[in-house]
Amino acid sequence: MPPTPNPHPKDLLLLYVEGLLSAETRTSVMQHLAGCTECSSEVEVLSQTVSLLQRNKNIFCPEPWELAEFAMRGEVCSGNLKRHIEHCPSCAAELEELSRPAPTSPPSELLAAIQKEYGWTTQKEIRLSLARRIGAYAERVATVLRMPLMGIGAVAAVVLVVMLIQTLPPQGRPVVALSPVNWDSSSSGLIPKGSINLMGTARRKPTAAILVYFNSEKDALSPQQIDKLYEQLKPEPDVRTKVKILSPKTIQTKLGLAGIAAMSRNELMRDLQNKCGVSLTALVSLAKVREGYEASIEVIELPSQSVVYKKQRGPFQEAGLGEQLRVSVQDGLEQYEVR
Amino acid sequence: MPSCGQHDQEFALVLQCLSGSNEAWNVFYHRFFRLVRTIVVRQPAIPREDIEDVTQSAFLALVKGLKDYDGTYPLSKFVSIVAHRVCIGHYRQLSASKRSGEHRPIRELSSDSQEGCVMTSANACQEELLAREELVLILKKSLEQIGLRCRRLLELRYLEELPFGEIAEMLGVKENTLTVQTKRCLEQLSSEYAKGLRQGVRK
Repeated sequence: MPPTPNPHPKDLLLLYVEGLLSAETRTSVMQHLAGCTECSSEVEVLSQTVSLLQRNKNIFCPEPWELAEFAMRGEVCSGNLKRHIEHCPSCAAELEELSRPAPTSPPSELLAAIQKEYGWTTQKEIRLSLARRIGAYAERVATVLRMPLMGIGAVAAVVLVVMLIQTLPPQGRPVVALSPVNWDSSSSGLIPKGSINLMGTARRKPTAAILVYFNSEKDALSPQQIDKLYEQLKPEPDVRTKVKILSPKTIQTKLGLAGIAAMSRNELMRDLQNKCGVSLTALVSLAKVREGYEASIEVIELPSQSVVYKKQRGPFQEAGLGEQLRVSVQDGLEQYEVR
Repeated sequence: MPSCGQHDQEFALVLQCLSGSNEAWNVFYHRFFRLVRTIVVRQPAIPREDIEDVTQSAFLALVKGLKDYDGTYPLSKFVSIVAHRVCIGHYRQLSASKRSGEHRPIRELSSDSQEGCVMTSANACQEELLAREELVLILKKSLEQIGLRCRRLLELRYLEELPFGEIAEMLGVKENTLTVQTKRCLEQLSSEYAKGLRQGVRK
């Protein structure tokens, strides 16, 4: 008996399982299967797997978070998601659900939990909390001293004055200058656009902050001048691709402070690291002299607080101060990159 | 438009939340409310009347756990993982309370089930749905193991139900080659699924 050229019809088994063979070929495959355990077991595995896929089409569906990303970012990150959604009614419905408007603020129970865990830092909350604390303190003092109701007001006023004196930066104390200037007007302002690496490696770059610091509060510029200074200090795109630089607005928001804030250098470094996630700071310290401003530009590596770059510049006139300083700041940051 | 793998803005939002900014928490809640709710709704083991509570619990867990987010993957994935864990925890609590004799109402028909199975109790239906979900999870994990081309091919054939001829044309291969490739993909999937069944997905 001559040998069969293709004893096992392997290429036909899937078509057999799916019922796509002609009657004649099907009969021939069936005859083979009747005497071949190898091919029969293959058919069994194939039909089970095909059946699994046909019964569980949702395994091809993306996770809800992937749909949420698609709803938020569109096609950029989705691969074949768009095509999938077009062919999958349940994903289309889920996408619609994910795209529906959501509440703009958490319910009170959740707010309380957040407050308990992290506390609030909004200026309104701080002011309210301060007023409440002063009132309560004045009431306690008045009770202890058995003062009449009018006395409570007087005590509250005294406490308020004392607290104001304590909280206001005294003349001569160092201050950090904060500004709402946003170096990336096209985004939400959380991160400058130039700092984002399309390959997703931005996290590996050091996060840097450029800050203006006055050695004495009496040397501080006006808020308008500070804003202008920060505008002029905006780093060039080539630096911002090497180092992730936070916008002044971002730093102001994260620190929960505005304008000029009394802060020691150590406090500033600690808050930059803990609240802003900064690992590198370009600190421009300004001191007023007769001819204008003298500047010390330092690039400080956190958390070791080691100074990796330092340069004295000036004196400079107020006009164009930022332009003069920008070169040194960029130089310092670039040199850090070279290290 | 934001790009793939760009999680810096999300990481910045997390930092703001951790610093206690209520504006940042408002943004966080607004952005992820629908996602968390969808995840909770998707869980067959969560009774409908518990959906709002579980959603709230998931956010409470996120408030505590947000500090663990390191920005190396999408924040929505992190939120999703936390929400899933909360759902599983809630189900375990439900099961424990049933074992300890707490009364639960009997539901005759589970409207969550696609097959509309008639049940004698919510517990039995939930157990069955959970077991089914477990198998689907194993199958889904197996699908992730077999490579992108195979996944794509199986999706075109078994989700979109395109004929082999059309898929072959789309992918620029001969129909015979395509059926052979599909068969290999199915065999790979079957092998991974068997391995998954032996190991189990949820240890």
